[in-house]
Amino acid sequence: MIQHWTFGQKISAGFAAIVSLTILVGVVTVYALRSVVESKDRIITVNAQSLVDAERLNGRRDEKAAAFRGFLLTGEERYLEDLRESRRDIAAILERLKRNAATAEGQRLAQDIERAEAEHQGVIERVIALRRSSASIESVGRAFDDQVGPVRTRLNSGIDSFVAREARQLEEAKQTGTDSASSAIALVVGMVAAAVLLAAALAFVLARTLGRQIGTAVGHVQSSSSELQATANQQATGAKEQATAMAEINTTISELLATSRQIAESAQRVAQIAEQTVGAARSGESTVEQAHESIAGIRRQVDLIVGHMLELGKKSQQIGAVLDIVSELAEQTNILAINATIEAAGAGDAGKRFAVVADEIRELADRVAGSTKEIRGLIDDVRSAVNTTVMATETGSKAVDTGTAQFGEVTTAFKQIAGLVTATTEAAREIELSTKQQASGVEQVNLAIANVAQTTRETEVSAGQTLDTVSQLASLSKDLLRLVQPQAAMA
Amino acid sequence: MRARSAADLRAAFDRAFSEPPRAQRGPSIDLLAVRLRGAPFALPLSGVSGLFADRPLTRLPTAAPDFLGLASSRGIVVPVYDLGALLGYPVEGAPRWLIVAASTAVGLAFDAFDGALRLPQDAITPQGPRERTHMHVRDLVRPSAADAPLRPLIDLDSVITAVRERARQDAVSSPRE
Repeated sequence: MIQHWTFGQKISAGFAAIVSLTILVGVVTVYALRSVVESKDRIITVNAQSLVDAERLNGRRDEKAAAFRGFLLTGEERYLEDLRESRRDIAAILERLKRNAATAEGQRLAQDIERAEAEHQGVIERVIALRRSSASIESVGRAFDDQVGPVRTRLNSGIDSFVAREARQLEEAKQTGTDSASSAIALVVGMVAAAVLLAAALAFVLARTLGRQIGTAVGHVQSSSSELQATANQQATGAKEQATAMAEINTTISELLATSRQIAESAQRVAQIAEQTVGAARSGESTVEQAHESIAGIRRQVDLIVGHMLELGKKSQQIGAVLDIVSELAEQTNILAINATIEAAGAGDAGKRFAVVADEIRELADRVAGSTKEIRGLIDDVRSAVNTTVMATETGSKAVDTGTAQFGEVTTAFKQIAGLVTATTEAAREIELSTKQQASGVEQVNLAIANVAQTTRETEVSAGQTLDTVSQLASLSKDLLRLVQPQAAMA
Repeated sequence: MRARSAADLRAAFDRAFSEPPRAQRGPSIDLLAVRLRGAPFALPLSGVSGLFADRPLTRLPTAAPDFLGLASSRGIVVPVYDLGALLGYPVEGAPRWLIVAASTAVGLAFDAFDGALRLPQDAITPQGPRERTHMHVRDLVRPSAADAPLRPLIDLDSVITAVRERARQDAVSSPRE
C-alpha cells in the first residue's frame, strides 16, 4: 500500500512519524521533569522544612533554656515571658512536625520530643517555683542540676534523634530525587536516541524510496523528453516539408486556376464548334443518303457486269472446246501431211507434185496449229481476264455491299454524331459553367492554402519552441536525476 | 506469231496451188523436231516410214526397260522402243508419239512432236567425238529462226544397229536359259 503513496503522502508520513516521536520524547521529558520537580518540591517542602523545623526546635530549646537560665539568674519575669514564647514556638513546631511526619517513626519521635519537652517544662516550672520561693540559690542550683539536667538531656537526645532522622530522610529523599532525575535523563536520552535512529531510518527509507521513485519518474521524463524531442524534430521537419509542399501546392493551384480558365474558354469554343458540327453532320447525313442510293445503282450495274462476264466465260469455254477440236484436227492433218510427204518421197518423181500438196497441207496444218495455239493463249487470257474481272467484280460487289452497309452505318453514325454533338454541346456548356465554378472554388482553395501555409509556418515556429522547451526539459530532468541519483546520472 | 483468220489461211493455201512451183534454192533436208524428256532433238525424215500419235501398244513381259511393247503399223507388227531410254535417259511412262524406221520395221517412241523442219543442208553441223553429249548423235541442227534451240540430230541407223545388236544378244542368251 505504501508503494502506491504519493510523494507528498510519503513525506507527510515521515514528518508525522518524526513529529510524533518528538512529541512522545517531549511528553516523556515533561513527565520526567515533573517527577524530578515533584521530588525536589517534596524534599524542599517536607524533608528540608522538617529539618529546618528540627533545627528551629533545637534553637527554641536553646532559647527556652537561655530564658530559664536568665530567670534563674535574674529572677526577672521577662525571661519567663521569653520562655513561654519559646515554649509556644516549640509547641507550634512540634505540631507542624507531627503533621508533616509521614511515617510512624516520625510521629513517635515527635511525640517523644513533645513528652520530653512537657517533662522538661514540668521540671522547669518546679525549679521556677523554687526560684520564686525564698529558697537559696544553691538549692535552686542543685535542683537545676539534679532535676533539669537529665530531662534536658532526654529532650536534647530526642531532638537530636529527630534532627538526625530528618537529616537522614532528607538525604534519602535527595538520593531518591537524584535517582528519579537520572532515570528520567536516561529515559529521555534513550527516547532521543530512539527518535534519532528512527528519524535516520525514516530519512534513509524516504531518501531511498523517494529517490527511486523520483529517479524512475525522472527516467520516464527523460525518456519522454527524448521521444518528445524526436517528435518535435519530426514535427519541425514535417512542418518545413509541409511549408514547401504548401508552396508547391500554391503554385500548382495557380497553374490550375489558369488551366481552368483556359478550359472554360476551350469549352466555350468547343460548344461553338459542336453547334457547327451538328449542322455539318445533318448535311453529311443527307449526302450519305444520296451516296447510298448511288451505291445501290452501282450495285445493280455490277450485278449486270458479273452476269455478262460469266456469260463471256461460258462462251470462252465453248470456244476453247471448239479450239481443242481444231487443234486436234490440225495435229492429225500435220501427221497425215508428214506421212504423205514420206509416201511422196517414196514414190519418186511421180510423187513430187503430191509432195508439194502434202507440204502445203503440212504448212497449213502448222499455221493452223500455230493460230490455234495463239488463239488458245488469247482465250486463256480472256478467260483469265474474265475470271479476274469476275473475281474483282465480286470483290467489288462485296465491297459495294460492305459500302452499302457501311453507308447505313455511316448514316446511323451521322445521326449518332448529331445526337452526340448535341450532347457534347450541352456537356461543353456544362463544362464551361463547371469550370468557372471550379475556378472560383480554386481561388477559394488558394486562399485556404495560403491560410494553411501561414498556419504551417506558425506550426514550424511552434515546433521549434517545443524543441527548445523539450531540450530544456531534458536538461532539467538530467539535473534532477543528478540530484536524486548521482551514480545513475554519472552512468 | 500474228493471229490469222481462217480466210487468210484458206487464201494462202489456194495461192500455193495457183502459183508456179517454187524453185529449189539448194540442197535441203527434211527433219522431225521432237523432244525427249523435254530436251529438243531432231530426226531425219528420210529414215522414217511413218509418224503416229496415240498408237495403242501391247506390252510384253520383258526385262528390257526400254522395250515398250508391240504396235501395228499399216498391217505390220513392229516392236516399239523408248528412244529417250536408248539415248540414255531414264524410263518414264509411255511416250505419246511413235515413228517407224524406214530401214527396219522398228518403232521408236518419243515424248513430244514440235513439227516438221525443212532446212538447208548446211544447217547440219558435225560434232567432234569430244563434243558429243549423247549416244547416237553425231550432228547438230541449227534452225533458221534465231530464237530456235539447237537440236542434236539423232542417227537412226546407229539406233537401229544398237537395237539389233541387243536383240541378237538377247536371242543368243535366251537358249542358255
